[in-house]
Amino acid sequence: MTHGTPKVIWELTGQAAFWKGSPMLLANLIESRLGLLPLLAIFRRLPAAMGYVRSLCSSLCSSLLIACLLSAPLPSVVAQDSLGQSEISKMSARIDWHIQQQFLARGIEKGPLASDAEFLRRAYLDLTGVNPDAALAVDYLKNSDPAKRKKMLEGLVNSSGFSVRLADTWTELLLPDSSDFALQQQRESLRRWLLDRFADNARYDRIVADLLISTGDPNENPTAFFTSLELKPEKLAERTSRVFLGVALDCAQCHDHPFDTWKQTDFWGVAAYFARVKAQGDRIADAEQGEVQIPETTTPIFPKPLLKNVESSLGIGSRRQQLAIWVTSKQNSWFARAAVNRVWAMLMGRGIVEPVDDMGSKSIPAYPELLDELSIYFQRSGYDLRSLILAIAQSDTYAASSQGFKESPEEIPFSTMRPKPLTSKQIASSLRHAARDSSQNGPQDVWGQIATKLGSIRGDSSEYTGGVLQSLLLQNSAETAAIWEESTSRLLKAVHAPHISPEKRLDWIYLATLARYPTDRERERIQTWMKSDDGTADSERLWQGDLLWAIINSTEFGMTP
Amino acid sequence: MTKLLRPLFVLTLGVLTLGSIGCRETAPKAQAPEVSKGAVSKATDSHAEDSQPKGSSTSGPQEVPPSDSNPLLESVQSSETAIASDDPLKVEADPTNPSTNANAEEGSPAPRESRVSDDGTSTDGREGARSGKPTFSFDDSEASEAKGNASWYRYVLELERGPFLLDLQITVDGQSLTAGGQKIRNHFWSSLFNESVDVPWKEVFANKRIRDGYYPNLKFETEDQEKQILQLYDRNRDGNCEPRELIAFFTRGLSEKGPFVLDEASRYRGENRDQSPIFLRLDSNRDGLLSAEEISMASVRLRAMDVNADFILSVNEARLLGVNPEAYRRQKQIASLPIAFPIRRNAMRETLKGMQNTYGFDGFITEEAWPSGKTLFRFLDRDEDQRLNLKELEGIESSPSDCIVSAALEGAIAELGPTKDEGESAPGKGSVSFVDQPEVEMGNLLNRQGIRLKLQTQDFVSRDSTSQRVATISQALGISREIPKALGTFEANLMPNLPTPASLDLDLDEKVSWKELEVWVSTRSVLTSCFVRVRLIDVPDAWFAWLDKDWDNVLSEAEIEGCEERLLELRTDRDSEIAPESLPVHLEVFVSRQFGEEDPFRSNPQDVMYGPPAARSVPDWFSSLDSNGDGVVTPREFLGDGESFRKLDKDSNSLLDMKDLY
Repeated sequence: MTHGTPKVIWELTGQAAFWKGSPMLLANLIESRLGLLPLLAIFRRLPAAMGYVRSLCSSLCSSLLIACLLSAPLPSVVAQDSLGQSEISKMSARIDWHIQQQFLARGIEKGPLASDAEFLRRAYLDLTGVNPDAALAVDYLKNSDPAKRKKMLEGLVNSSGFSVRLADTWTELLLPDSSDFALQQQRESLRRWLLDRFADNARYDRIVADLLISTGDPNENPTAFFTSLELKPEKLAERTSRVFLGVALDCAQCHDHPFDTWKQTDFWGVAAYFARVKAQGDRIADAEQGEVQIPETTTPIFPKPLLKNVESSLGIGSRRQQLAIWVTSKQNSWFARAAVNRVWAMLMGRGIVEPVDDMGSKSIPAYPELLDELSIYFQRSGYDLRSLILAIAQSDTYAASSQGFKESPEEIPFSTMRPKPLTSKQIASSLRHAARDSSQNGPQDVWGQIATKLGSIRGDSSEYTGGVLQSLLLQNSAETAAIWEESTSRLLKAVHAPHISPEKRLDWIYLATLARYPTDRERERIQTWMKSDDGTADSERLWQGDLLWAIINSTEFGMTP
Repeated sequence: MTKLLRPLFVLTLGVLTLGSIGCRETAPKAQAPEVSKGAVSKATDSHAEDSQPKGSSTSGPQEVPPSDSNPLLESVQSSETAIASDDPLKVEADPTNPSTNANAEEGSPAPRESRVSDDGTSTDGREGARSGKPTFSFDDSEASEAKGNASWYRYVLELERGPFLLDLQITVDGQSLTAGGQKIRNHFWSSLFNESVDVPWKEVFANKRIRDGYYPNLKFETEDQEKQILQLYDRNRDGNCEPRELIAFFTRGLSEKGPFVLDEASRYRGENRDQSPIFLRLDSNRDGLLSAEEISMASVRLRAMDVNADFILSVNEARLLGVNPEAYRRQKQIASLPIAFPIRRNAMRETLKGMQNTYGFDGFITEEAWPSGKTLFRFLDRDEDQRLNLKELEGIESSPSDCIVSAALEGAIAELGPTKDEGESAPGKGSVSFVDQPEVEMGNLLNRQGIRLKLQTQDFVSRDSTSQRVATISQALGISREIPKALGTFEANLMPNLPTPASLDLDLDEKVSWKELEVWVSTRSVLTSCFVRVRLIDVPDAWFAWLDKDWDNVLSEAEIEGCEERLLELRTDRDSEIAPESLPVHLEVFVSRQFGEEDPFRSNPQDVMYGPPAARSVPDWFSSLDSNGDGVVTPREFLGDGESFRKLDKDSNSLLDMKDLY
């Protein structure tokens, strides 16, 4: 196998039918991958009546195309970042230009940029899911290099934390959180699988294609995606279309979509792609047979791509392979748009189209040209998530301050940064950070349990809803109390190191929790507060513990600025 | 920092003299006493318990071959003690011997010294091979603590002053080394590939932790490298990587040996011996044996390898045939160092006291007065005035630790030796102590029959910190980060992080008084804290080494001329052919201390490096800064400005550890 050849193609080429009589599939593949249109057009136009000639052409063409397939520079498995830093910067500027047009149209001045401290914590939480270390924060805040933000972002997207963040995010999207131990294990296997690919900066289309055609043991590979959704075609269709296409098809499951153009047959046409996914022992594989039917009917529904402009490449390979081809096809603009919109929402707090998993015809993008341009950029970059995220994160739009954010219909979207509530995982990692515990004890350690508890109401640890139970957990639980209680707090012990002067301890508490120095007002209030105490060392630790409690339960701590 | 199990890891070293070139590594348990031929004598593995009371000796004088015939480590032969079962005494115990039975009942194996009689057969005895008087008896109490289920391994070194027998007993978590080693291997394997039995090499190459240098010495980048690895390590050519193959791959920098040779040298020996360029050249009919005819032609064939016709077969010429000169150079360097043992502070103090008493100490040390370790003396004597002044003496801390310890040990043994008190003192975690020396009549190390040390360390399998665990397991596997350095610049890098010593000259009189020395020694944790690492490394070309009698890395004309005779020494029967297995395992036995950054046990620094916890406990603030609990504080973990960090980081290694605090 040629290194870098998309696995899906080679999966297909492994099918006997492909070699025997399916030059059309090859033609489709080549067309979609190599763009050898002229040759294929000639081939296609041969009339069926010219049996011998057509057969001869088939053979010749197959040989030629196979040779092409083997030798042509098919897309690499790993995104190559072929666009380069200059292209990324240009895209960042284009993002700002698009946003700026709205300001000009409305005659509004753009808001201020975020301070260094605000930007630092935002970038770390968005790109790695954790708070920056205090030492890093100090270095960054002291750094006067004008390019320090850009350098930091580049460093972050190349860090392992970035891969973890993406893996966590996509795992949450693909699989519901579950208290079932077996499902948790499978979920973890999917997460590890994703983590490896994000760490390799694999092409996003390749990741999706490999996921959709995966077979094997759910405990070892991404087939947990299928098993956790009970192998039910309708659930798989719904999740696939939401996550990878940004289309909420589920409303069309029982009837035609009331507000959109989707028909019930559209939904079941997608579901039919998963009709043959079966469990064979401990493994997930494709069966030879299996169809879906619309409930209360007996007519089997066959696979049908959602998009008319994408050739189906039907007839060859498993149905999931066919699905993978059209989902990731370049002609399928939904694919890139959905990814762009999701990444945008991850960084900006809301998508260009809302909701992010329902980009149907009734959902109007706030910036349609920007969405189109970013989608094209994403495709040109080889579906490189790092390039896409860097382009967005390096823009002034991302660097806008969240200080003046107002939730109102009149607000121009993205004129200011929208503060994002931390996900339960982010909160747990922030708590771990404040507890100065970086040991790696696996997902089921105390911090993992906190993440689960925080996300328990919705059964989804990807989002923190901030309910009463969660607030009580943060305020009163034994786990979190260990962070601020005088006898157990490692942070308090650390700030009482002999090299830290008493007057600097406050700074380090803030740096270690919020990655910033306290403001003058905060200093003043804290000093006043301290003076009301007796000033002994014990009381100092007591009020520092109280301060930690206040910080951890503050809105600022629970939000990405 | 979470403290996990710290099972006992007991290493007991027995050092015996043996009056012969060395003994062949013998198969466990069933190995019959071997018969020496000519100058070749063999240590037998009769481990019957000595019937004499501890400290007494019964054996008579032993015939010792001329030591100059076999320079240092020339024929390091590994002889596993004749114990295949976990408890050697059950096999070897003499029912008539109360001592043996007692030990057998306790299930505690003990090393037995072997002596070689004139006819080459060995008998048990207590007597030093040279001194002919009682010098040593083993105390099995420690072995009893080791639960008695570990195998003994015997190695014979030939030092400048004569052969040297080491009996090693290692238990891991109460298990024998083999079982313990298996545990480590399993853990290592499962950490990489879960529970898979065989993993395709492709998957190994694709494994991120390998590809990304998770294990620092395993990085490879090109397809060519992958092909080479497949060629070399996929031994059964099935495309799958098995645990043994992977470990061979991991330890490739050590000729695939590493510490596994402790129990697996015999397994690897054949593979190494029959691929030797020398052997391949001599074995002209490729039948894997050296016949009498081939032996008679050996000098002719060796001369044919002398490509530049300078009548010397150099290492470089050998390199053309596949010998790694770098490894060979290192082999020579190690060989030039005395075998080293760690000692405790008291022993060092006694050493110095002995120096003072014996030679008088006037601020200068002459070569004659230097108790031992001429290599070290010459290393220190930078102005080559044949004496060490204060400044030169300070250089001791930048000299190879083996030199230091060896010199100290030799001095200790030469003059005083450890006292009973030391023997009874309970070793702390990560410490080494003499355990049974009261009866030892100390003398020249090589005239002594043995020295027995006990090493206690922490569990090296279960740890919180992944990096720590990897480092520890890697260390256990011999994948030490020191090794790449050691291969090239062995001496310079052995103690990379040693702090510059404070001046010895406390009263500024430009002389070192005894008191000043004592103060200095007492404050040198690197000299007084003890770790043992035993590393046995097969030499790259044992055939070359066997023929290179003077260990000068070249086969001189005389050596080539005498090669037939030298080869004949390997024959056990006049008419027999020489098989590769006949060649002794040339193992470098490298015993050194562990400390500092490379120390695999450093996660408990107060125990490891600074004495008992009561004396030097880790401050709360330090352990709180150390957020991942690995015993060091990185700049990223640190709270405080950079200037504070630099001030605290006394050794400027960008890490804060306990060493920086005290």
